[in-house]
Amino acid sequence: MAQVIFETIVRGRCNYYKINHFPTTIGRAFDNDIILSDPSVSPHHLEIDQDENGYFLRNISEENGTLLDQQKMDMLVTSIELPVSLNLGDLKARILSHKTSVAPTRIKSQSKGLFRFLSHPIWVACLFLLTLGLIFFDHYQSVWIEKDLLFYFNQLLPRLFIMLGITLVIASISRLTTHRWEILPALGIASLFFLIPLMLDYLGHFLNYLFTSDVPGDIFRNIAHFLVLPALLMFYMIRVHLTPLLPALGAAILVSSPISAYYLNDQIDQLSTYSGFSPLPSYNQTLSAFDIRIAKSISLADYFKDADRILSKRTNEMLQQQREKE
Amino acid sequence: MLRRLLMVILLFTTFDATVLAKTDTASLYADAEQSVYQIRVINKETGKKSSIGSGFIVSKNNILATNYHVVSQYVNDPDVYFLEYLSNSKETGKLELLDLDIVHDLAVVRASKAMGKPLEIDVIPEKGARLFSLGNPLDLGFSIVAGTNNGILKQDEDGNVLFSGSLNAGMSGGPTLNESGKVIGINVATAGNNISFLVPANYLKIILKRLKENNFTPVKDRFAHSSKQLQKSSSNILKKLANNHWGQASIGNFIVPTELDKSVRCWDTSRPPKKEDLFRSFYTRCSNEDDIYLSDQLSIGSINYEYLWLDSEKLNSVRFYRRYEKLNSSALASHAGKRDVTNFACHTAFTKIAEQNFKTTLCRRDYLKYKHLSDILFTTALVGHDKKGFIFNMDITGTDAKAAIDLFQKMLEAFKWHK
Repeated sequence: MAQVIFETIVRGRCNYYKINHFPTTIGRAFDNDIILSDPSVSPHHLEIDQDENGYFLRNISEENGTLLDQQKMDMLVTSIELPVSLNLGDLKARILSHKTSVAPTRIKSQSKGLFRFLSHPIWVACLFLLTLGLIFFDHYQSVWIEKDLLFYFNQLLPRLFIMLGITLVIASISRLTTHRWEILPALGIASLFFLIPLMLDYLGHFLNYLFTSDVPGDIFRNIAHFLVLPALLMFYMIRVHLTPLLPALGAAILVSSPISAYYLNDQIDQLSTYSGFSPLPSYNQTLSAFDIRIAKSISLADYFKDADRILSKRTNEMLQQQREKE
Repeated sequence: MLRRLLMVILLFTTFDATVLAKTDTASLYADAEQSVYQIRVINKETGKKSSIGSGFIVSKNNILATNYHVVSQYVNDPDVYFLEYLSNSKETGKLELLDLDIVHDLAVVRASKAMGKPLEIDVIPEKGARLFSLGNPLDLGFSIVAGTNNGILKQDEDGNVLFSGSLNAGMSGGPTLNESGKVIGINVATAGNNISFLVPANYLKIILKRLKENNFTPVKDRFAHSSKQLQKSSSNILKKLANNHWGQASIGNFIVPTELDKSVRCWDTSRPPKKEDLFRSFYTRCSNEDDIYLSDQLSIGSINYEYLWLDSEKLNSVRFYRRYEKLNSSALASHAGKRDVTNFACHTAFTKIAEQNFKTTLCRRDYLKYKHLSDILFTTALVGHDKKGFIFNMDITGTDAKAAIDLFQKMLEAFKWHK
């Protein structure tokens, strides 16, 4: 005999009831075959039956009633073709054939390899300490007068609190949605949120000097402002909440949009304040103790010859553009 | 900058009338009174004066000489303003701009009718000679101020005359006469306390000669005309500087040129060392302390350069370079805006100077109205030494780019490294 599956969907989670005999009654009362706890469901809400022609439904709820494929059902017997979707009061449900195929298994490839790096206590501890160490180092490097050791820690504490705050927020959201406390991955993500921009800054500075150009630093700064947070959130949702890629991407962009909007607003402000004009010269000012660079030193005569040619050409172009504007 | 400030004072502060009543002064006063006028820049819309100065009849009975800075508002915005004279008898009339010498702050205008007797031009008398400055400060009327000639300023590229007399607001553009009543200079600026400056009248003579040859035809393109003067003047100054015998000074491991000319003053601007400092730093700043007035907001002709030495035994090299990099930024102290100049274009490369490696940048922006004039900014920083830093910044405003580059190159070639 064919079997029918009754599926209820509560907050994204599905429950399945196998129906082996007919008629089957559904409702909140305990004498039903399928007992539902949703308070908007009537004590006796719905009946499912079958004959040689197929399946039938009968709505017996006089209170909130039943929607069949979004159409309100009356109290008469209605013939159906599987699958159908139902609304019993506020409760979403489906009636499916037992032959309906299920979605492919999501393989937990992360249980080994990369994911360990966010969940294994040693990894997270390393990441956390590395972040604190780098923040300390960065602050220490930018102080040029003799100070007590305690002074160098004063930048560390506020950031430590912010990091723990972010960890708590992420872990709490995980607790609500997955019913698990994901403290370690949350701490790992919070550490990366501070670590990656700092490392991008150092890398940008190194490359700026290497290539005698501000372009790498600008690219990395934009990555730090606009990409790091959504990428981390997406990574976390995929790995910890097992969210599919696209919904994770959407949620990550949505959550990080206030911060992206802040940086975007800042950039637009800078552009519009001067409307293209800047009284300050923009040139590559990086200096590096290691002096690692691609450009070799040239003679002064060659330098001035190049500079004169290049600058004459560029100022001429700017004058030309100005004339065209007028 | 100082000069511009003074001019503004000259134009707008309250007049403190000092009329000396000596016998010779009285006769000069009587002779010259009818030849001096107030020159006013009037807003076309409101009909009210925006700035005032003085002017005097010279060469022909309808030709007046004054300062460029008196008429500069009109020159920069001829659609907004017009020029007008006001006589002692409160009679007014329009003036037409004929020619100007922006470098020496002179302008020549023409009235539509005969204005009186032209004053004659004479050479500057010996130092110590008595001089008499005339002008029409505000609405207080015609005034005469007596003082002494203290000679041509050697450190001033314009060669202005130092006049020990009290020039006052609104007297800009008025004549300064010798004892025989001939014009030897034009009132231009004051530093207060009886220190005033005059433009030697021989520069006015050059303009008048040019105008006579052209049958007093007004200059067509004023900006192109001024650009040529400014470019030539700047080139000459820079060439002179390049060929001078320079002073030298030692800063850190370098020996560098300091005073390029008498007109350049250098100062030590080092921060006093503190006990908790982990590094040492030394600054020397040099400036020509001079500029040419173009408009209320804009002046050019400044030459500034600075040397900075930084070293440390206590900082590690990464920490040292953090500090060093923060000091490696150069900007121009100029009020030029988007109506005046283009953006800066810069070129950065590594160069060899005194056998050491330097990260060197040259930036240039061009003036929009004044063709072939540029602001040039040069900066170079020593690299490749663990705990030693040296920065040389130099900027020149309103100059010929080629002449500036030649000067930079010559200065850098004079750098010496010693251990």
